[in-house]
Amino acid sequence: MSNALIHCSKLSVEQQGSWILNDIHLEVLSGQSLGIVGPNGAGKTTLLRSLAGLIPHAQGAIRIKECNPLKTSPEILSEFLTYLPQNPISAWDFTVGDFGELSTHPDLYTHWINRFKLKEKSGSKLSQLSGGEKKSVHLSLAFSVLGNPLQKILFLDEPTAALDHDRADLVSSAIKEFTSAGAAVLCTTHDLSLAQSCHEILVLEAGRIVRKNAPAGISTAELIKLIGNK
Amino acid sequence: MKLSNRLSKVRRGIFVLFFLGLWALALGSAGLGWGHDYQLLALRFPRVLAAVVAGFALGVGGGTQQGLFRNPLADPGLTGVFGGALLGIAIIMAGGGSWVWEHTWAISLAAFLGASAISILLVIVGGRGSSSKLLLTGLGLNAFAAAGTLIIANLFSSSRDVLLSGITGDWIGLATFSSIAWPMGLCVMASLFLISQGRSLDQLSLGEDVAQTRGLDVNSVRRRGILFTALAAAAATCLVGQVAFIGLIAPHCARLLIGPRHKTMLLLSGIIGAILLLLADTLGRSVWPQTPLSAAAMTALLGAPVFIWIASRHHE
Repeated sequence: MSNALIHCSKLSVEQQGSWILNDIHLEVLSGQSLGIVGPNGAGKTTLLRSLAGLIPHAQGAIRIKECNPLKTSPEILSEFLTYLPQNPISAWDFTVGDFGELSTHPDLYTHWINRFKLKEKSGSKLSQLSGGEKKSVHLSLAFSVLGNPLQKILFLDEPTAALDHDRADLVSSAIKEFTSAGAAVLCTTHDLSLAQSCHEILVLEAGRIVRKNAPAGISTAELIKLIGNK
Repeated sequence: MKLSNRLSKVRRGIFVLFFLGLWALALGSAGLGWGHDYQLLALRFPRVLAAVVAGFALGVGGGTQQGLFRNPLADPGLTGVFGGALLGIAIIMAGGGSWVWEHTWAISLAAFLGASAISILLVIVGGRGSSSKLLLTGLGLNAFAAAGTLIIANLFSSSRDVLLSGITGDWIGLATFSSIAWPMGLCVMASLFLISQGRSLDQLSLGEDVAQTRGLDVNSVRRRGILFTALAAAAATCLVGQVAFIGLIAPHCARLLIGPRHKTMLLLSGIIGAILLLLADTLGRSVWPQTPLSAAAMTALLGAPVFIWIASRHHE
């Protein structure tokens, strides 16, 4: 048995008669990050949600830290898994400071809020923040809930979308810090530099894997085309 | 906001409620001097108690329903849950006859079954999607339940007056210690259970996907929340009849005062609900003592403008 933290084989997802994902095989080891790229509608978000155990009708074999996420209680999964959706929401207007009370590690939340340069906004309500600031608050929450990153798994859906250059760089650095500390990170992205900072890039097209390489194996021009930014 | 600040506001709420309760006991068509008329006190006390407990349950139930649907416009009155409770009561009154009055627990049970049925339909038809879908579904279910209650009231003349006064929220005037014991116990139990679910509702505010990956069994939280909200609303209906808007306004005020963390917000929302219903009932019976206004009319008078204000500020 491999020591992969994320493993799936023959993963397929059908929705309303069409295959959103078709025969996906992948493995992410502890200490590795995998960037998933591809045009809109390629199935990137569905892949992330299937692996996180959020699509009950997903077919195939999924192992997340040796657990089948569809047959494991959410409480156990939450001990080693964190998921950030593309457009995270909060139904109620928390202040930035109070939002940290939703984390299992409020001290780590404050640490990330400081690194995202939002310390002075801790008394502001979420509705008063810009789109990028709001995303940074949700990223701080997602990063903080895991505690020690060793053997933990992060699923991040477009983590740098809406962020300015500095904050997007911080997300790339954070992913490197997490993998250095022994976590496995899977992120979807349309951000060239984030994709190139991952250990491996997986290209998805119409629900199938069309390519899987280390960033050095794909030229920038080719990657721009594959990401969907012609 | 720190927990100690939130709790201090909750304490202030309890303080206001306590003095309002004393005022409500003393006020009425016949004045009450301290240490005098204990018989009058025994008549008024159940009424005050019913208003406080029902208001508390409505505040907590409304806050929970808003948390479950992540929608600030949800309210057991507007989403048809009260209508369902009344329909349940109408059915058992029509079918049970005098047996019902000897077994008052059956009224609570029928109200709970009616409220649960409407809640389940609400979730199946309108639970996922926009706010307007939820509210329109609730509106339709409410109209359907009200029509059913009115038809039964027409067909069975023996229960007509009782049912009509339930629709207008006038049952509070009938409160006696024996009639309120069952529903009061259920109100308190359901409310305390819902407050204990506060942390789950906090996580649910991040959306179902994130809540699940934070360790929440979303479906069972929703099931429990919906059933216990139905129980709180049904028991409150047995105490006072149909009173809308308390479940809408109280959580909104509580969130403005202490923020959206559900455990303390639901507690304060319950206290504000109790204050509002007691105030509405006391004003309703004392402003025009010869022609008292029902608690439902008073809360609608105050609540409708607030509802319009919240709706105008709400974005999908």
